[in-house]
Amino acid sequence: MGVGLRIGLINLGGNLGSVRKWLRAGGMDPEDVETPEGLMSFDLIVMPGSGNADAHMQRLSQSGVGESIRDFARSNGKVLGICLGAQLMFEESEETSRNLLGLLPGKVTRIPGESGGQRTGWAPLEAWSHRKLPVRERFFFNHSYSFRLQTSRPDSQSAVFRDASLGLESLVVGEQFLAAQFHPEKSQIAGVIFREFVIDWVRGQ
Amino acid sequence: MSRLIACLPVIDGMVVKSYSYQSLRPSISLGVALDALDSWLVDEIVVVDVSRQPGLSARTLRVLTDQPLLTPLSYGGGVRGLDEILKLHEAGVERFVLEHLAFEDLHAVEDLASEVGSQALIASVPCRVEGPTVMCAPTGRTVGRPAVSFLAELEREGLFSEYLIIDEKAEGQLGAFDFGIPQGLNGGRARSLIWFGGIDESAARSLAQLNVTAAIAIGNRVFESENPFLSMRGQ
Repeated sequence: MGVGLRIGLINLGGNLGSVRKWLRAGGMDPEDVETPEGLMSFDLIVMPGSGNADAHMQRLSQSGVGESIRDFARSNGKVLGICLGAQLMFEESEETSRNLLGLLPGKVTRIPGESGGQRTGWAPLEAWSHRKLPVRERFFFNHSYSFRLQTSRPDSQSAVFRDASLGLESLVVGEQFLAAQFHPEKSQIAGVIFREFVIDWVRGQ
Repeated sequence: MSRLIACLPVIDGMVVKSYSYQSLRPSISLGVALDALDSWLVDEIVVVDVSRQPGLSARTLRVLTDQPLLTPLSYGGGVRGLDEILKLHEAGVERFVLEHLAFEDLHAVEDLASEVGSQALIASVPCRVEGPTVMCAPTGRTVGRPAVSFLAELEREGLFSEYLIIDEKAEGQLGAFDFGIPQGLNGGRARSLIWFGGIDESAARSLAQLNVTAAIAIGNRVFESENPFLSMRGQ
């Protein structure tokens, strides 16, 4: 028996297969979205992603899916972004001159040089809990850029959680948007817990 | 902290036991191996097709597609272009280990990086110590080039996120890893190195202390140790 949610999976290439398997293992049956039509009928839009922000934003613009995602958000639809998908939810990025989706205020910048300009590895989140229990399990990260929520803006009513390794913003939790810099679909136990969190969050629990 | 990676040499959906990539014999089903490693919470799994056949094995691809893996998965062997990468991505592979392209066609690597991101690319660099120099060459080639300058060139290009340094002589021989390789690469430009080839626990602890170490890869011996028939046959 499924969890009774309609999930739209934006096809940005990259880790689509892994995210699809992760969602299905949690009782969800995501539908691939490659055209602008029909987005409004979903309970949740998931934006996975790995690769190049410029190429992905170009595809989202040319296909019209990008504007449909903005419309979906304006109608109070819920959006989960994963890794590059999470970065595209912000306003601008050092990786591309194109405007991003602008769902969240803030920008995406290159990871600081002392980290080698990229991170592949595991880290838990600081002070993140689920169902009132602290979650100390590690998440898997693989990225060169990192988002930063502009918390001074009135449209930034979200909680921000950093990773316990580099101290970078790694999870933004708002009423309408979830931006996860890590890959929950490859984060073993932490990813399973996060999946339950996503289901609760969509249901408003 | 250095990551621990399980490296599985495979041929057509079967994990094989390999000795310096010369002697190969069947070991365990890839699906069973992936299940076990996923449960054992290794940091990452690398599947390497050692068949030396072009393209992807349909059986291996099917196993990867059907496996609900929760552990990061990388793949190497026979990846020549975007077509293979897209199929592997769909099957749940996150990163790709490139060897011949890294040595022979950086323009092709650049095209792949523009599509999937350099974060998704790992360069495979088989190495051996020759006199005072660490040399490197793609598998099967005897004429090499100095590894320090080769890695510096790749680092300048910025097309790879990490480098898989393989002690090709020690591969398959527990405890045989040659520390002349990290010593010879010391001070080079490349920073994110994954070590592989004959690494035992003691060698792993030493390698983990190096600033350049991103990860340590261990081969197929873990499943071999669970097969009692091998010792009965004197293998």
